[in-house]
Amino acid sequence: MNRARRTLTTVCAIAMLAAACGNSPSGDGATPASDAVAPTTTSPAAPEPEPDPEPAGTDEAPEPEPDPEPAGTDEAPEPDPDPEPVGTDEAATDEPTTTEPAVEEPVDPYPERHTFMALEGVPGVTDDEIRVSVVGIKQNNPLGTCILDCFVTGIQAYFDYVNDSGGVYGRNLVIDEILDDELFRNQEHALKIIADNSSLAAFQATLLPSGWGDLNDAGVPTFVWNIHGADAVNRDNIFGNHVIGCPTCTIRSFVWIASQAGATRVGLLGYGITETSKVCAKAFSDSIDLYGPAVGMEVAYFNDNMAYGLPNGIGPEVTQMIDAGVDFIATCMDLNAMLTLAQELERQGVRDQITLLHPNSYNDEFVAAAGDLFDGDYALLVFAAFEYEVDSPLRHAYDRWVPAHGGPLAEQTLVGWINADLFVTGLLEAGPGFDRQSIIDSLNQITYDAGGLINPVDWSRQHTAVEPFVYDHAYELHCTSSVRIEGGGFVGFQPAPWMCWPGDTEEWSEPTPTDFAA
Amino acid sequence: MILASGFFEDLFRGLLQGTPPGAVYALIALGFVLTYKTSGVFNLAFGAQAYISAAMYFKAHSVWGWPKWAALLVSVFVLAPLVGLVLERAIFRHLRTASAVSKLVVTIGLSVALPEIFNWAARFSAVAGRQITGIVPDGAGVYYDPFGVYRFNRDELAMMAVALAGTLLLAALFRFTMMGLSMRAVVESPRMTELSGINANRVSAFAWALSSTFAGMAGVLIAPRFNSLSSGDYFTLVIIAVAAAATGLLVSLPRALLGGLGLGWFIAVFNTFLPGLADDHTWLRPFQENLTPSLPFVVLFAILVLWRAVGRQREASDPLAGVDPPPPALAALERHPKLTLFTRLFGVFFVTVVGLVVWFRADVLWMSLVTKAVIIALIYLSVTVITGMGGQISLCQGTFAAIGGFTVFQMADRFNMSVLAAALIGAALAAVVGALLSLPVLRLGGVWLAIATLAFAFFFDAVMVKFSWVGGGSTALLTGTQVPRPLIGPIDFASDRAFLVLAVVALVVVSVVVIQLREGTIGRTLAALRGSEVAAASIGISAARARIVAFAVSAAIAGLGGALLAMHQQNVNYALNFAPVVALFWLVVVVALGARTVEGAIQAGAAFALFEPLILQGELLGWIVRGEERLPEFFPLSGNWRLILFGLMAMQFARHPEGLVEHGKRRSATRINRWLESREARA
Repeated sequence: MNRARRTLTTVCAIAMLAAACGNSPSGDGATPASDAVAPTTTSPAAPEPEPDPEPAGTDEAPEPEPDPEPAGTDEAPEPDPDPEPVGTDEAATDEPTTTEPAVEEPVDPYPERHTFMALEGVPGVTDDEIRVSVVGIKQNNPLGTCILDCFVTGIQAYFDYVNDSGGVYGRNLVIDEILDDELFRNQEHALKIIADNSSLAAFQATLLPSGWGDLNDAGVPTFVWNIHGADAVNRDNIFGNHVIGCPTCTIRSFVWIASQAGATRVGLLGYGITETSKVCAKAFSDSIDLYGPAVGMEVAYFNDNMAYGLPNGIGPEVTQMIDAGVDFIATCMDLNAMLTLAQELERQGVRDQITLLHPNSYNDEFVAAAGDLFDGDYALLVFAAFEYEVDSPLRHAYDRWVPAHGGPLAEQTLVGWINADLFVTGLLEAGPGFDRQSIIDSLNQITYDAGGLINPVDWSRQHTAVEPFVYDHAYELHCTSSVRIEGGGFVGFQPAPWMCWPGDTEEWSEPTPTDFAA
Repeated sequence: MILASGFFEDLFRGLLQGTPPGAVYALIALGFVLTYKTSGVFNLAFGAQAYISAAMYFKAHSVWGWPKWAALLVSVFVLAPLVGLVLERAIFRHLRTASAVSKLVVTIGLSVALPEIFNWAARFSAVAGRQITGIVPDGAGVYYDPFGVYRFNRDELAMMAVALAGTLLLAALFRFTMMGLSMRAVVESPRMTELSGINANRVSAFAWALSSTFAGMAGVLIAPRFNSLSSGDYFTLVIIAVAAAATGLLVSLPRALLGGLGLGWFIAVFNTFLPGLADDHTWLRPFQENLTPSLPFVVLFAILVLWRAVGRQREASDPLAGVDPPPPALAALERHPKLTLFTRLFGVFFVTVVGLVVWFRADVLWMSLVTKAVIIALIYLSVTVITGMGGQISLCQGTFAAIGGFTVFQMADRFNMSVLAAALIGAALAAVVGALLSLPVLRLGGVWLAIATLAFAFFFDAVMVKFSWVGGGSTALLTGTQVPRPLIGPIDFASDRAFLVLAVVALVVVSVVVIQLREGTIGRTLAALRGSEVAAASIGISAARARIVAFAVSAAIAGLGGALLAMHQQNVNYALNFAPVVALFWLVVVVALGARTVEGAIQAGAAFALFEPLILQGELLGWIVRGEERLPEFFPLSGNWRLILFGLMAMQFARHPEGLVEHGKRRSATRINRWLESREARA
């Protein structure tokens, strides 16, 4: 009993000590980037090489292509391996440059792209190579979709595309290792990248990004499939294919698409078990409350308590929506649930009377397999849909190089491609004497639009979360790229790849057709 | 149109809409009852067995292009019984007289391992966004509307027909055939059955083949209702269907059928009427919002807690078990004092060497892994208290740990409180929740207690986590659930090394508390209750009080561990660390390695956090052969092997219910004692 008392006393002493203590100020406290206006930077994809006829595999880290002219010696600078150099001395500058209208002879904004400089102590950089790591989920992916392989294909295709024209600063871009995020060990993989210190940057396409904070704190430039707002915001070293700035803000694009479908009474569905889905459904509802009167639309049915995976089906909810006169349904649910919903609408005989808005169904295979079940529906995207002509070198190169690597023209390959381009942009912006921090600092001064494939992101201010009606860290333009489903496939219906609204107001207006590549 | 107006038409339509999902639950519930009646096993691996056949059918028909009959034959009538026979021969034959709780632990392991083994062997991966083809021609495309109110497709009608026919045939099998009687007899007492001239092994093998075939058929029939095919979906369905099986007290097939259908009807009618009522009566809105996604778990918990028959139900146990010898004492109490001294000295030496290596050589990754191992070991001590000492199975230890983690997050985020102080508050809060939870489930025992705690874990997961005062709500979407590291005077635990020291200190303190508890009044009370509750009651021991204390202490330890884990990762990471399925994983690892001792929990923590990077990734072998480049090509092994080995570990538990660590200690103690005795004899 005395021993127990002594133990209790010890525990109490520790408790009292703990109560007198504070919290460490260090850790995850990345400060937001400066609010300086950033110049817009286009893709660095100036050269136009042809794809390698023998595509690299995706299951393993592909071997780098043998360099016909070994780049990199101890003697700098190396002669430019590009047979048709496009740079000029006048354009040579370390300052970020803005996009200029096309002239007869295009000016390479990065004339030093092939200038070799020997670098010491930069992780993942040798005289011949710049190495990166890729983390993504493949095995045990609960979504069952192609994530890691497609992401790697996009990155590898882009790296081969750049390497084929001489690489960057006389070095080839190489994927050092590919880590499967099976069993959701993202933090372990992040710490491995940090501990190995053999990669200049990290690429991530994961479902549970528990390691992003560690990569950010370690100063590793990290390029991600950004579906995780909470894990990316306020972290200046995390860059994504887009920005989730404000999940609770109203969305004019959604209302506009509904109006294009002729919707007057809208049904909204979300999962009750995930906050992301609930907030998304609420944002849709708020949007109709705000903009609905302007376009003659109202919320006729709202349910953000659906059981995940719809194990009980969706019969009663569809019946209630029919009774409520719903003619358009938007959901914040996965593609399996969309199929279940469409089948239930078909069963209750109203499939051709109710249009669906798909948030996650931009997948050719999925839509084709459903036959005509989804015909007339719409899909909402965060990148320029493939159905629209985007006249930029980056898009043209993607169309050639990704299929040559055996990859589909799909979201994950495009995200990998865009991330790789953003990484190379950072390298080129940083100059031949680059290191991790200079890449990060350079990217955090520019606005990036992936050659018109994404809504431009001003990385000098968009690492920070956005609150409704506060626009300091919001997109300059609020844009959407959406497609319609017809004949078991996607077709474009917008007059331009993007339809945009001013980003500094919540007022309703008709969108402006926009092509960022123009 | 049979019914014309308003309320009754809605009600009738709701019942019809609830029938297909009800048939799904009924099929699984029937499978539960069938397995329990024929083997005495509460088979949480039923979903895994169903998944294997469904995946095999999909692969054969949709990928390889086999005709439906051939795919059905192979997947349901060949593969499924084969799986059942292998399970019976390799595992459950050795578990016939084991407690229901031991069998439950094994099935948890199998529920994880079986799908992984199949996926690895068949090179199969989850299917999403695709209508799964059923066994009936054009099953999803042709509808029938028998009442003019709601249409059913052919796949659904086939599923309902099989559920009904299965109930009748199985009931007839048990009631009118010798084999049915024999199967029940083997469950009651295989030894007495053998005395009657019945080959218990053969009967048991038939029972497992039959129940596995039923699981396979259920899997193939259920698959078309969902547009995905993954083992996780089947596991979720199994958890939901437990409520239906509970209505039949695991023994009544007709009641299981009605329970499944009733669950489907109840949910459909609930979803038909409550949204409208909640619009008219705002006080109903919170119920509608929170109950909808968690309804099956609430129903399950309510059945277990409110239905007195569940508590009174006697678990199947061998009447001859009374003549079996009691379980042996801990090896540490029986071995030679010199051996004990040597073991302790070696332990100190080993820990010191490992500690020095970690301190001076570990990089950021290994420092993190070792710290995680220490914290997980601390959490596992909570299992040592509730299961090792109390003999109760709790499947919600992850929830208690999550309470600790979320408390630290909330206190630091809202009040900028010291996270160490918040951790103690979190532990206290978890203790209160544990004590409160133990009150309604006190009268339950064995598998029912386990299932009640699992229902609570899923309820917390479905309802509580989304509240802003628990999981952060919508604000956590943009800022996450970040947790700072502690600071004590000049010592900043933002340093990984410093935090490792803190974690080790916490582990040592909690270990001492657990040892004190085990050797004190509470520990001896729990030991007495574990030996014989009747005998303990006859000498005035209060089982209720002891169990409430055990639950509270166990929850407090888990809460403290959860808080430390959140500090370590600087984020609560609920889905990754504390989801109900993760806690199932925890339980199996601890009991398989040794739930009765502190060193068992510590070794389980080390195994959980370090086995894969050290062994499967080839780190240890690479160090031995001096270079990763010298490793065999198959390194690093896929993480899926971790799941497969996890299942194998659960199978080992079947053979060594005292735990692998304790088993090893006993074996080595026996050998060394024998050697010492022979040495003394020679002298």
